[in-house]
Amino acid sequence: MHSADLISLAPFIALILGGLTILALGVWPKPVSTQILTMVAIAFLFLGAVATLFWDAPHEVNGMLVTDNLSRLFTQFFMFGTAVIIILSSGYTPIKNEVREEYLSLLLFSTLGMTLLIASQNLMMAFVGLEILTVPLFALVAWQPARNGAIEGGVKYALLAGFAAAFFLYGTALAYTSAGTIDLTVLGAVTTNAELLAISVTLILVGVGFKLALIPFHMWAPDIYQAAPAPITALFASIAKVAALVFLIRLLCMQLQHIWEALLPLIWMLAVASMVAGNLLALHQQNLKRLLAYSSIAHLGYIFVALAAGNSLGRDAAIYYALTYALMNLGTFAVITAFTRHDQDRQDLEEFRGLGRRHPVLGIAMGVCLLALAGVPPTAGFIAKLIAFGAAIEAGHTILAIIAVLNTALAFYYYLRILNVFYDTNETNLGAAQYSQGTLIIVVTITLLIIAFGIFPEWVLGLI
Amino acid sequence: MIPLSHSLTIAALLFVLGLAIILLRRELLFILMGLEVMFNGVALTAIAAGQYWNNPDGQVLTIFLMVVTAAELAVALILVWLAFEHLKTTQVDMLTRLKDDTKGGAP
Repeated sequence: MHSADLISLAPFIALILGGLTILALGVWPKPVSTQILTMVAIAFLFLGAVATLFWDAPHEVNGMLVTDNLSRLFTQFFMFGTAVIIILSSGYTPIKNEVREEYLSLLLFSTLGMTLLIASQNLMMAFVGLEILTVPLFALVAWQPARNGAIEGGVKYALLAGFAAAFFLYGTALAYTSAGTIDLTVLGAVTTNAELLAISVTLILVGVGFKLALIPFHMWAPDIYQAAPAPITALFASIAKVAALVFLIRLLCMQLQHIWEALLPLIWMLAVASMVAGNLLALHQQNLKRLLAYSSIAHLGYIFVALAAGNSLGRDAAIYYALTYALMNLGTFAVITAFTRHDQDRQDLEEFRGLGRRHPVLGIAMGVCLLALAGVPPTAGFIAKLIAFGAAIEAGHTILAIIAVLNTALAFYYYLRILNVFYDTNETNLGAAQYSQGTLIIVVTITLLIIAFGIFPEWVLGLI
Repeated sequence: MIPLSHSLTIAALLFVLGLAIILLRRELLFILMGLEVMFNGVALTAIAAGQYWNNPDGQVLTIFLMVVTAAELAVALILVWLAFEHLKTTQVDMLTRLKDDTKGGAP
């Protein structure tokens, strides 16, 4: 092992050490306060993010991990996202006294899985990353089993994640059968047995599609969004999904270009089905968390429009869209976390009635996030849609772009319906929200980032 | 020596058998067993291909597969036990508390 390898591995080592340190602090003879545990977790995340700056990109570690600009950008973003989720969790009353060593270390290990997944250069590494990302989430969904629906959500997620893992593994095994290797760079150069390789990538796409909740594989998403505590839903809706998505971008657009052409009709169908069905299911939904689950299915459809373009513009568009999608969802769920009731989340849209007037900062933040999700300029959501659909038109998929634009128009109906309820003059009788300073700072930061990335998209695009 | 196509066919049958168990059985434990059968189909594919290509990647893949899926199924089993403990059921059809709500009118 060379020293360059060690520097490349530093962020992963920081996350592992962080998780273990927090577990060790939990069994320390003297009781350690929750605040110190939280600080330690955030410190390790910060260390990991700083360590990526010393990467000598692009560098490959033993044919397993590749540390390039893409993995640097998203590793830093995942560290930021996890820190946000830790801060949101510590101000979240329904699990107030349970954000201890187990919770925090599970979050850190899950982040480790995300970073491994996006940096993987080998399908086996990707599988291990995917599972390290997923398995802690089973436990986090079912946190506090006595909560309404918590166990049900956990069981459903565990079964479907196992199902997805089986498909992913079968794809990996078939890729190995076709070429005798599971190294992605070698697989990209192999041209014999192209049919078997295409089948295997399709199976991998099914496995990742479950994680992304694309339309035929979306059954779990609304249930899990509803069942999980709001900060964990934020994790699901933002960085966990983006990790799987970035892996897919790396697989299809950067490593296996020749397979991408064989899969184009499939990507096309997944994009159309996800957009149309996601939006139609969201249209009359009354439960806000489920509504956002369906809206994120539709957003994945828009990202697949960019993937279908397949050119370098489409790849950049998909990466930019993935980042802004995660930011917008983080912002929205941060507001939902702030508005939580004493013992459980507000679920029904009615329970949010009039809250935007009572809490102006949170109301405006929710407004910005929802308008960004809908795609209104000058937010990042608009630029993301613009370059994604532009890439599709440039690659000749005009019909796909038209379907996407029509769906965007349809989506305005339910986003504006939420805002309408938020700014109603009548107010819900469930009482005002209690939220911490940390949550407020997070909400404001994310809102400003969404607007800043919308005005200066080159801040993100220049980093890729 | 057994040709590659034979072992691949058996492995594919095993995978489909596991899939059928998951889709047809309604008990949570049977679904977990079906998952295990699917994983075994994958493992057989990897081993057979490893023999064919004469390199150790297939066996390494199988070892990783066994370790990781065992960890995953352990957590899944705890959740099934929790469902039995709190909800008094092991049937997947009884888990219906989370569902769509579209009844309310327009705001």
